[in-house]
Amino acid sequence: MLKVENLVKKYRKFLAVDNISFEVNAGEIYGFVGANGAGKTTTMMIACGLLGATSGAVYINGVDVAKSPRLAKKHIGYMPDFFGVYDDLKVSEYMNFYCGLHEIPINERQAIIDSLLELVNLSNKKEFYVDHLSRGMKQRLCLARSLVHDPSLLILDEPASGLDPRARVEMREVLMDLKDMGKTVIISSHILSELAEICTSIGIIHNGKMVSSGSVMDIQNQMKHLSKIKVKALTDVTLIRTFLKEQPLVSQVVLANGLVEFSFSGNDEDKYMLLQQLLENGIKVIHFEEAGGSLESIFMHITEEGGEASD
Amino acid sequence: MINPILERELKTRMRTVKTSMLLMVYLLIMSLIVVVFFLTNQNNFNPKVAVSIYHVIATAQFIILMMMLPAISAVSISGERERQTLDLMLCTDISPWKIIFGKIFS
Repeated sequence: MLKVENLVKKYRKFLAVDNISFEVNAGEIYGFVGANGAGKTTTMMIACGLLGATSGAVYINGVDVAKSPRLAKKHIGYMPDFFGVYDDLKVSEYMNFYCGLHEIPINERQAIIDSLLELVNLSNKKEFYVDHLSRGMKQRLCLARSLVHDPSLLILDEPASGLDPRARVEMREVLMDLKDMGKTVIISSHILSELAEICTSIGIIHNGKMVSSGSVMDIQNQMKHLSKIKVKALTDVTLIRTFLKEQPLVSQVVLANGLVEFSFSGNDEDKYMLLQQLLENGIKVIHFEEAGGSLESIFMHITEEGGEASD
Repeated sequence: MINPILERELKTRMRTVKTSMLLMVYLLIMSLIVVVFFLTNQNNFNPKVAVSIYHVIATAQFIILMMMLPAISAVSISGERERQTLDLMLCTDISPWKIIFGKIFS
């Protein structure tokens, strides 16, 4: 469905995308994860034909996006991380406008608009001005807009950004519907836990490089040495924190609900040594629990300054 | 099939009171010019005066159009860029020429 081959994008001397390659099969939901400025949007824009690549190629259903952009665009529905709506249009008019841009015959438009607005749960807002919609509704309208030409591939750039929990759940439900409809979806986000629930595979990008790619399970297996540990002690938490911060295998020390939580990149032997050191230093440990390598901790570890992924 | 950009521009522009007021003021100015022209030649009505008025007004409107058209179209296109809607348009089937023509004719 989508194949990215050795993609490089340079802005003068700045390397935004550094030799990225990945493949997304039909019907998959691919999560594209990375910190702000990692190169997610640039990669997505190149895939949509909105930006030229310095080198490398993107193929959609075997069509080279750079060589035949118009043909490739027929297969793509793109939803950027901004709304791009016209506030002075009504919802139905807005949808009709995009049907027109996709050159859909007038007599077919109404049925398409009705079914899409129903899909995103906006049927009752048809005659509302876009300006009067909430942020979540606007986001869903944008999703409906990107579907008017029935694309087989959807590229969604941070569709859940800035949404409240309810709107997020609604957006996730729509994405699950799209998955059931057999659409291939590429979705970028920095909310990893959300992606883990709906994505079949995930690619983690950092400083323009793809540092880890594969199914959620694969990535968790790759990083199983990286775990989160929770410690509770009778000693003052700030003392434990200071002690932990000095330890070489410990990172991301945070205080949460009276517990000290940190990422630990050592094996079981190292864990035992750490516990022993804690006790030897007079820290009265009453709880020492391994929380497992969550995707969040994997992401934090990978995107940490100077942090390197172990493949 | 009407150019969707032209359709949208006309629809949204004609909804505002500002557009109808602007049109009214413009037509009033034009009528005023014609009236003044006729009043200054009221002693002997000459049909040739009407023809010359027509020439003057047509030329004036043409010059105004030539000056305003690129400016308005350019502002409108850069407005799309600012609103980040141009990228979305470029993602669709519509050709860049149709975007430009839609903007010019609106």
